[in-house]
Amino acid sequence: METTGIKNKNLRIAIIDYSAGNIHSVYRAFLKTNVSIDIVNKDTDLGRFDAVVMPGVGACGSAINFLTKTGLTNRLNHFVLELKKPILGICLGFQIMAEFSEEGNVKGLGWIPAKVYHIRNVVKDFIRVPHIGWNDVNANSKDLTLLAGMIEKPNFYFAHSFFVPLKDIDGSIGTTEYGVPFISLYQNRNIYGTQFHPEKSYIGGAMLIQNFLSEVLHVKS
Amino acid sequence: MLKVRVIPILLLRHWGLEKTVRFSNPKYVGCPVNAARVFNQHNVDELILLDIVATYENRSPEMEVVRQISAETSMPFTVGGGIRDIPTIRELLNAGADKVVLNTSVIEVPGLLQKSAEQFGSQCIVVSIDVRQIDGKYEVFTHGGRKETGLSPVELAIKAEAEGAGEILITSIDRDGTLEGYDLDLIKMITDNVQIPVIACGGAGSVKDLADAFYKSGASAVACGAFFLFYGARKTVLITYPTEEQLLEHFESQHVRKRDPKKYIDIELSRL
Repeated sequence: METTGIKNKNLRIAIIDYSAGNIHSVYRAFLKTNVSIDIVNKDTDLGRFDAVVMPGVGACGSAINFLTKTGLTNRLNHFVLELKKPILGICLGFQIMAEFSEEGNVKGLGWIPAKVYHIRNVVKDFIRVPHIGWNDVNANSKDLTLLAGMIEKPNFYFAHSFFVPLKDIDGSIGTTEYGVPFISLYQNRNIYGTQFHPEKSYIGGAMLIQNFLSEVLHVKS
Repeated sequence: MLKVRVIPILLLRHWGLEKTVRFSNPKYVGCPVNAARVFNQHNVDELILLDIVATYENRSPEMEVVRQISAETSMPFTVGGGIRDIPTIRELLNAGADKVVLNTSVIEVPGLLQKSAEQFGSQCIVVSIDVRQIDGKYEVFTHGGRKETGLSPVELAIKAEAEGAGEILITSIDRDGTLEGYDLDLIKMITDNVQIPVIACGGAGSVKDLADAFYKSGASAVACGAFFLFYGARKTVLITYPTEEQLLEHFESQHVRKRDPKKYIDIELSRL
């Protein structure tokens, strides 16, 4: 625990604040890991950061609008597509990395070849929406380093009405069952996403965050 | 499979934690921040904090309590009491709440529920409905059970869902603090008529009661006050929370969250 904490100290992380709600709990979860954190809410050169975290607050349309308006979309594209540095999207932060979202019918950042749908437009049987609470995450591959060290099918906290239904997708994924299987965890090269909230998932969430930071450390060295 | 959510519900009067019986006879229980800390140590599925005199005193919940609780915990955290406008919701979310509870204002401030759901997302807004049985008929009460509305709970739940509520917290005032079990009929009436998750509240006194609300009445979550705050016949204040093993006596394993930290860590403790 000590040694990783010390290594984390050299990491500089940007947390994107879309000014749409609270990023408090994500901030605190990363603060515990000893990394240095900048809250970014305006046009900022991201190149000096080792990783970017996009939390999950607000609505898809307003988040995308905010990123475009501030010029952060270009900065993020540069960071992710050219510098190829690690990014972690949480809940809405994961959804906006897809190509399109039914929430507000908006184009996403397009880094993940997938579309985001309202749960009720996909699940035909009776289902309660939003999907709120703790659910299992099943890993499709051993390469899912974000789940390293955890038990099989760990439980995480979800709170969402939109999701990415399961289909053929490039990358390692974790799936969760809610009416249909959907993508709850995504990991492809430098792009990481969780539909659930690691910052609200106690030790499992803390482990996932540390696993992400271990990846960041690995890329850096 | 989605797990049952077992939720301690804490009642706040200013800086003190209280527990009522049928919404009356408040008993001082202790410090809300300490209680939240202990529940956090128990790895609870979620915590609800309700300021029970805020509406009556025409103010919002104590922000500092919310701030302190959220600073010391890492659990899903829901806060309510006296919320009448969007800025208060924003302030609560900034103070660290994940969701807010609207009750009286759903009836008294037209448009607030809709606006807040649009702005913050339905998953962020819980509508709480307090119900008392009058001459065999269920009726909604506001202002912490003080004010009769003449509305039926089913009617209000359907309206709340249409306006964007993400969850319904349904509380039987008649069962509150009695440990006699939930009002299963009341809960089922609500779950039968909405397609959003329903949190059962009022009367739980055993794990069997929790399972009944889940399996017989279709509740997605079960909230408990007295059951988790008092111990034994003399009602000594002692914070408890059912273990996985205790839940498994009445719930199917697929519905029980794996929360024991020991079970989380395979072998590679060194990674942390």
